[in-house]
Amino acid sequence: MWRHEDELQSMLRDSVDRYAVANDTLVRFRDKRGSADGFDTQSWRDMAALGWTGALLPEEAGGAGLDFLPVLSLAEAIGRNLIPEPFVASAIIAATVLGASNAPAARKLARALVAGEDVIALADQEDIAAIEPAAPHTALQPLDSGGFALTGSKIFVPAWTSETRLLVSATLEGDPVVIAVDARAPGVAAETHRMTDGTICAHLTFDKAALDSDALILRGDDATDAIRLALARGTIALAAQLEGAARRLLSMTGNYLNQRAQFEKPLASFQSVRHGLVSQHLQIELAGASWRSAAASLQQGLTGEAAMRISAAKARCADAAQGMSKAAIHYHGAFGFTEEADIGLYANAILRWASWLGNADAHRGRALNLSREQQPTCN
Amino acid sequence: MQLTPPTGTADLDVLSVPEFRARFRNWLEEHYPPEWRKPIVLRLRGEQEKRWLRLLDDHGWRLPAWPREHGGLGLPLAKQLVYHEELARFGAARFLDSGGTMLGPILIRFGTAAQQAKYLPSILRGETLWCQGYSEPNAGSDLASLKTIAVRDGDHYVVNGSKIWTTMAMDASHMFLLARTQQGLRKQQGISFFLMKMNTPGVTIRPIENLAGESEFGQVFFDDARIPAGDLVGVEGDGWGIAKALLGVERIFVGSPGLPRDAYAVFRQVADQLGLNGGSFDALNASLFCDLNDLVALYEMVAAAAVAGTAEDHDYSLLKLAVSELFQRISEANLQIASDYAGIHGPAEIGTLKLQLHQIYMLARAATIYSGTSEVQRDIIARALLGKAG
Ligand SMILES: Cc1cc2nc3c(=O)[nH]c(=O)nc-3n(C[C@H](O)[C@H](O)[C@H](O)COP(=O)(O)OP(=O)(O)OC[C@H]3O[C@@H](n4cnc5c(N)ncnc54)[C@H](O)[C@@H]3O)c2cc1C
Repeated sequence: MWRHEDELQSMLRDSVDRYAVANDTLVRFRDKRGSADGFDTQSWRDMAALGWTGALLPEEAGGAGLDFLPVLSLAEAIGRNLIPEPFVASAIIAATVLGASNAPAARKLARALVAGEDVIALADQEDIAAIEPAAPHTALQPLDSGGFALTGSKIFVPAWTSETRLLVSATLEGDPVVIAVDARAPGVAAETHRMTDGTICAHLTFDKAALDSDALILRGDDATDAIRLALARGTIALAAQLEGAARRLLSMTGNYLNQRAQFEKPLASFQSVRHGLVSQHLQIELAGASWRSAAASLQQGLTGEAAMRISAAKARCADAAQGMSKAAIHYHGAFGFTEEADIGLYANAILRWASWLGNADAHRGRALNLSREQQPTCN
Repeated sequence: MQLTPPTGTADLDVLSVPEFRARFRNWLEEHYPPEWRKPIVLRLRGEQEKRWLRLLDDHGWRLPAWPREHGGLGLPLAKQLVYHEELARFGAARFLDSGGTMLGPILIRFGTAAQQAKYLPSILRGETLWCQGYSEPNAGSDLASLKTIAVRDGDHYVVNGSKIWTTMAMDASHMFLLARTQQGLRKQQGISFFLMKMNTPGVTIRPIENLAGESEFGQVFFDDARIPAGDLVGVEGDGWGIAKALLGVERIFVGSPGLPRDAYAVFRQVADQLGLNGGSFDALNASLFCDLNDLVALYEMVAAAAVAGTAEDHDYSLLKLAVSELFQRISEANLQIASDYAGIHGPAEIGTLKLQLHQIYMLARAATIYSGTSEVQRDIIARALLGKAG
């Protein structure tokens, strides 16, 4: 067993596992996926009380100020237990952007995130299949009366609810900026889509949405860097969630195969089945090593090498998890093809996580491109 | 709708295979309900399926495989294959027609004259819909271990037990089923083949929703359900052989490349809408294109061998394996090229189209499970390749 964790990591993992058992998260996931938001705001507050939503936020903002690496133990366990609340979207991606700003508006949102009062989402993506931060067409226009008018559009904005607070990337007089937007503000229109993990994504259109000048939270390189880091972290966190989900699917499938018999023998006794699962296991081990190595690399800063490893990890974790979900369904036979089998919940969630922030093909291509800019490393 | 006179079956005989193809194609163009042209995602059921079967029958196109003395078209296999190919090429909705494709040939071969007279005409007319009651909760790949029992009681059999994964159980008027009539023998022995009305007292049905969001299959419970002894097919205890007889030449249809071909058409639609071309996309596209091309080639070869009477069991297994795995691979490629859209539950609006990528991906999951799982097929192929070994 090469996996190891320090005390903090195992404490965080335990806290998710205990929460999952106490809250029967699979049942909850099943219940919530058809609900208006796809998750539960009360559970979000409960998770806040456990310290998860503020884990990454600096202490000045009321957060725990943890390093990113241990926070990934939360992500892994959240994936493994299939917790529908928007941890990656809000507590990783949005929190990273907020953590980069000292503006009072950002601090206020950060405190609301720590308390689980708000769900906050970064609205950056403007093009399909984009994996780099957007070079936004969305623009802020200063108004004579003070404040700004926001015009443009964003796609696949995650964690959408009617009350989600948005951090929108845009340009202002040629500068990249991030500005806080209330989703209910006039001039903001949303077209929503139910995703396979039960949550809602929105395509947003801003039509001269009026914003106060103090809503501007980041400008210039600070804005660009914060978004880059937020997406890099979000990508690894998704990779960790995917690996967690895949491992749980592997163990669920192993249990099933041991318990179901055909031809007077447990299915787990058939060599082709055994070897088939070993192939999945191999991919999952590669996946687990891959995101951990990417996270270690990111600790040294968001270098080209870190970005390359992050992309390799997302590709591997997406493919391993999707491969495992296909195998899980197949090895469960017709029961695996039913809505009532819990493996289907995972298979669906994995489809969303695998495709969000860039799918396997896109990230593999990016890893190769970035590798060309690196000194070859063989450590 | 105005009826064109039924096509005489003798008339079909004089047509060459290409002429036959053209005639059926023209008929589809003229008469097929446009709202049903939803390949892969739509399967007709219940009243829709009845309407479709009746439409076919009204126009003299009902049941290519049945001999003429039983009211079928009595077509040679070559024309039967064309018939199914044209339906697929046209983009017709899938339909199960278990009565026509599965039960009919069994009754024609093993049924009494009375059973044939009682059941075949209503199957032809689409008045009865049948489901197949083979699998049980504990008898899947190992079908012969089934435990539903039928005990003779005067001029009835009393059935107890349960069937599961019964496709169209809720829509069917009848079921053909396997039940054990004698205990203590080798497990393939003592099984009998019965016909049963779904509204028989003591029969209850629980629909089961599948991962593609449909309640197409279900579990059927028998609680002292009585079947008239006249609805036993063949000799008591011969059910296994009767069920197996069905797995002959009909298996070519399970190996038809329709599903992967339709899925690949969706792949091209996604690519067109997103303007994908060049680079790694082309490599993927080319590999799927060639996979499909070669699969169709294999299908045509095996189909020709089936027509010539030289195809073997493992040929059909190989086709079924290849078709189901390619269908899955293409359904996955659809999601891969759809990037962000792959995470959408329900139809994805891509460009000007609404594409059911998620549903197709989930439907493809079942293909390696139903009609004999991939492992079962591989075992059959391995036995042909390597002998029984040991
Ligand atoms: C969509 C759908 C429709 C269906 N419709 C019908 C219907 O109308 N009527 C009906 O009677 N049945 C129907 N079935 C049931 C179908 O025939 C069974 O699902 C199939 O026989 C497999 O049985 P099982 O599901 O119990 O899986 P199991 O037999 O439990 O198999 C589970 C897994 O173990 C593997 N496995 C089993 N044995 C071995 C072995 N010896 N070596 C290696 N691997 C093995 C299998 O390949 C599979 O991956 C349907 C199934 C599906 C999915």
